[in-house]
Amino acid sequence: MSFEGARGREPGTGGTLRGVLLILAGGVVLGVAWNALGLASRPPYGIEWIARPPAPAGVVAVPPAGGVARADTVAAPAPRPATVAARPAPEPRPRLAATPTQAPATASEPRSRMATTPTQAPAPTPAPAAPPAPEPPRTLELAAFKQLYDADGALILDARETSQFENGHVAGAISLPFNGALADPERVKRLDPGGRPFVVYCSGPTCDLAMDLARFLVESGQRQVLVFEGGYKAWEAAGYPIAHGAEAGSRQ
Amino acid sequence: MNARARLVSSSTFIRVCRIALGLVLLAAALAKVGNPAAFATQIHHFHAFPAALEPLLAVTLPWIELLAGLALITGLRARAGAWLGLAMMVVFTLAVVLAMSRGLNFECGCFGNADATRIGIKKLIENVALTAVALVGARRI
Repeated sequence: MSFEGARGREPGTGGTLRGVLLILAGGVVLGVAWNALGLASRPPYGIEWIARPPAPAGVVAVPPAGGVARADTVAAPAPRPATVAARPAPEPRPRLAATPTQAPATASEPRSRMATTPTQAPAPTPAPAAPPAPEPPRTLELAAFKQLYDADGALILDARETSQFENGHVAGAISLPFNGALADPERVKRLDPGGRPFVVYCSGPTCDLAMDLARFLVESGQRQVLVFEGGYKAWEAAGYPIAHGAEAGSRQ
Repeated sequence: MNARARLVSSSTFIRVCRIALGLVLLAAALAKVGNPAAFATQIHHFHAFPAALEPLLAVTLPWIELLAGLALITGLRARAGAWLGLAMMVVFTLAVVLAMSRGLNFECGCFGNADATRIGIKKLIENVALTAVALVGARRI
């Protein structure tokens, strides 16, 4: 077979680049058109054009939690989305309500980025007689978490993968990988924190698993879910009790 | 020309690689096209792109994948499709490496919600292999 003979039939670099641009332009046009069509249709589908950074959970107006969740131990807005927190509050920064895992934690939370789909409930109307909306996950700082930890005032959930859990976790924490939770919603419903709040964490402030799991817990009907944003890294760095292996480990 | 070089530059092998890459791109595109919101969430998890660009990326990337996949499978502008596929695979691989280096742990969303593979070595190997396939496919026939 002669390979040389076959060469030259295809366009060279210039022609190929033109093809690349053609495909890129086609993709952008189709994507934008599809989404524009989606937003214009009733009921709408598609997503809003401008990304709205997730609202820090602490910013969401929540009535102070009673009981063990002790509002005074709950830290002020999370440091992570500092740019969001610094913005004027009047304009809400709605959180992406895209996947089931990211569904809004509260009915009061605006959901402007994801258009309402037929499966979603219509815009919530505040009804005084309605049962109170589930509490959205709030964030917890290291000192507040330690305080709660020392008082054995929370059921601690590790949202990371099992292998990471086994390599080291907050002593006394239960392993509940986010994926595992999604796969076994019944288990999540059965979790009984004994009147205490949940504290969920993952590896650190840049991972989303803890917030994802926390929202899932809230959706599953659990109340008083807190997210320790510093995650395992901050806990370990502070020299607080950790445990290894599959077992929760005892608090020291 | 040794046997390996001959295989890599054989037009049949290049075509096979293109079709394989095209099928992967098509599957990835079809899984994401219908649910840009879920894909936007997955993109957000990477923390690798400017947040303002995430929706645009979520809306257009599946369609670019779709067109590139179709080009590769049908043979129309197949080399352009392969170049695009190669560029995407390089970017995806870098994104996975970046996420791994930061210790992030989440589903990659590479094939929409259907793919529960988490970011990790397995996904990295998958991406590197596809990059190699794309490299062959990007050759001129």
